[in-house]
Amino acid sequence: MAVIEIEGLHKEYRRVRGSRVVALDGLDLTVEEGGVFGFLGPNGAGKTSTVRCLLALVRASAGSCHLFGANPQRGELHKVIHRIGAIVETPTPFPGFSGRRNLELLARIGGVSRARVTEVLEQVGLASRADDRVKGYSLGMKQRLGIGAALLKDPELLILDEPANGLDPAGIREVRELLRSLGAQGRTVFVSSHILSEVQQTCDRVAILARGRLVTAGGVREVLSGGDAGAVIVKVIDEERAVEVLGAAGIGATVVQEGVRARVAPDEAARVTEALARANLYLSELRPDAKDLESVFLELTADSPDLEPAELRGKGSGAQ
Amino acid sequence: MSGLIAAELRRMYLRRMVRAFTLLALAGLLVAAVIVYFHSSGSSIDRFAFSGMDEVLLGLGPLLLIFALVLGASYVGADWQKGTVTTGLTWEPRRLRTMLVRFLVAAVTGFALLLLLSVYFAALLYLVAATVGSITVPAGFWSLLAGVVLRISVVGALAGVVGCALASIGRNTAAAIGAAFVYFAVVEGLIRGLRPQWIPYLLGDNAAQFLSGGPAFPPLNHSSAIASVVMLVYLVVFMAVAAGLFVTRDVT
Repeated sequence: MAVIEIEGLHKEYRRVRGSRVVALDGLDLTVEEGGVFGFLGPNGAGKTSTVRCLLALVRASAGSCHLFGANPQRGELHKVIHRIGAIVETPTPFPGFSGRRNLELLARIGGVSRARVTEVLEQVGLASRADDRVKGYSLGMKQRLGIGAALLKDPELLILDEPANGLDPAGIREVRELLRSLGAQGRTVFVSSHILSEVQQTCDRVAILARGRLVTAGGVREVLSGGDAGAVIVKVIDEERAVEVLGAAGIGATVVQEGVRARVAPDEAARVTEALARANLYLSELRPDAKDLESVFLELTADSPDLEPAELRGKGSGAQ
Repeated sequence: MSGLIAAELRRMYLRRMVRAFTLLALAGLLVAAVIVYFHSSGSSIDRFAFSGMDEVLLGLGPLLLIFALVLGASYVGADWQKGTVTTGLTWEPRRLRTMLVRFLVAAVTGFALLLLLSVYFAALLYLVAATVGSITVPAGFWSLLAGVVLRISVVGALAGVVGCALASIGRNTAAAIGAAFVYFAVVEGLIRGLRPQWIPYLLGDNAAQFLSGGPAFPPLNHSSAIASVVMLVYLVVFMAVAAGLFVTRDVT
């Protein structure tokens, strides 16, 4: 069952002097129930605009979107909001109130018990600082509080916009584990992020967005393989002969910088070793020719004018 | 809806600004009472007579109304400035409902605080009058005083809602207070000078007429009842514009 359905979503923002900025340009996306879904794109690609359209914070210029079948753009979000927890950009709690009080105020709106507030504060590692004013929290603690607020309703769908922003490496790992466990529980976690390594390690499925359009979507492995069956890199002494042998065995191969690239799925690598061994060519190394998400992302969004090197590091705090 | 009302009321009363301003107002009124005490104990001519309390409260009225307007404006303005409005809408996406609850909370707060401050100041000055002045009051005085207190509180509720609406339109506390200042100090002043025939439609003059509860006086030639209707029209317009913009504008 599709939890999120987006069809031809278009969003333009008007600037003060009358010019228009196209944030979403006919976005189509479907997110099925369960697991962690990564929504990846450079700054200005339209990730936050998509989230804002889904949560009815902004009015779409055209197209439609549905959450659990309800159309937020037609004022139907309230019918399903109890099933959804969300963070939009950096969470903004009331700075003069404590973390607990912030969550209690939200809990009152949603009819959530106080016991659940305590439970969530423990879950996000804020129990010991729960009664301190948010004003004194670090960015990472505010981020955790935001995640706590999103979890408060025990939602079926979590929409998290850059949840690892401001977190230290330990915090990032905790969030990654938390997201994985939430996904494993059968919830749907929709995470927008520019931290490629995080998406690669956390998500089951990924969609890549550039200039307000969907570039590609699918399982992380599928996206990484770029749609082909995959390849392996082998190291042998006589590379030219290895290419001939593999060709004779019906396996396309070419000499590349790292060795010989044989176009065969990594789980069928035994065909390569068998063919080469029969020709008395022995391998010193065999490994999958796995592209990482970063290189796929760069290839796919190469024409995006908004792409900045800082967004592509895929490491570090991710704070911007 | 009850959860939203409870949460918003709690948020309003937990705000440090509300508490600090209330304490400051209570302290200020106490200082004023002490001044009256010393002034009253100086000579028999200056002895404070409690029978003039209604006039004292009416004189204090504008200050109290500014207090209610600022609290109403900061309640919503802070929400926009801190960005917490986004979080709130991920819990209650029905914006009209959210806006109406905020108007309600601003009105209740304006009414309750002005009632508290008026009664508190009246009680302080009653003690002063009982100690160094006169507590002799004419017949019907207490109902007259209660009427003044009630009218100040009602206009306080209106001021709270207007502050809330202006801050929602401008998405900022300072913009709301600035707009209110420009309207009352500049626009109404200019109209009084340049277009005196429009005075019967000015919010400030109608509020003053409503607060006095007395007979009409030129150039505002209509009763307190009509003044209250004019104020109500202003209120509805402010609320409609603020709610309309809140429902239709993007929250970014």
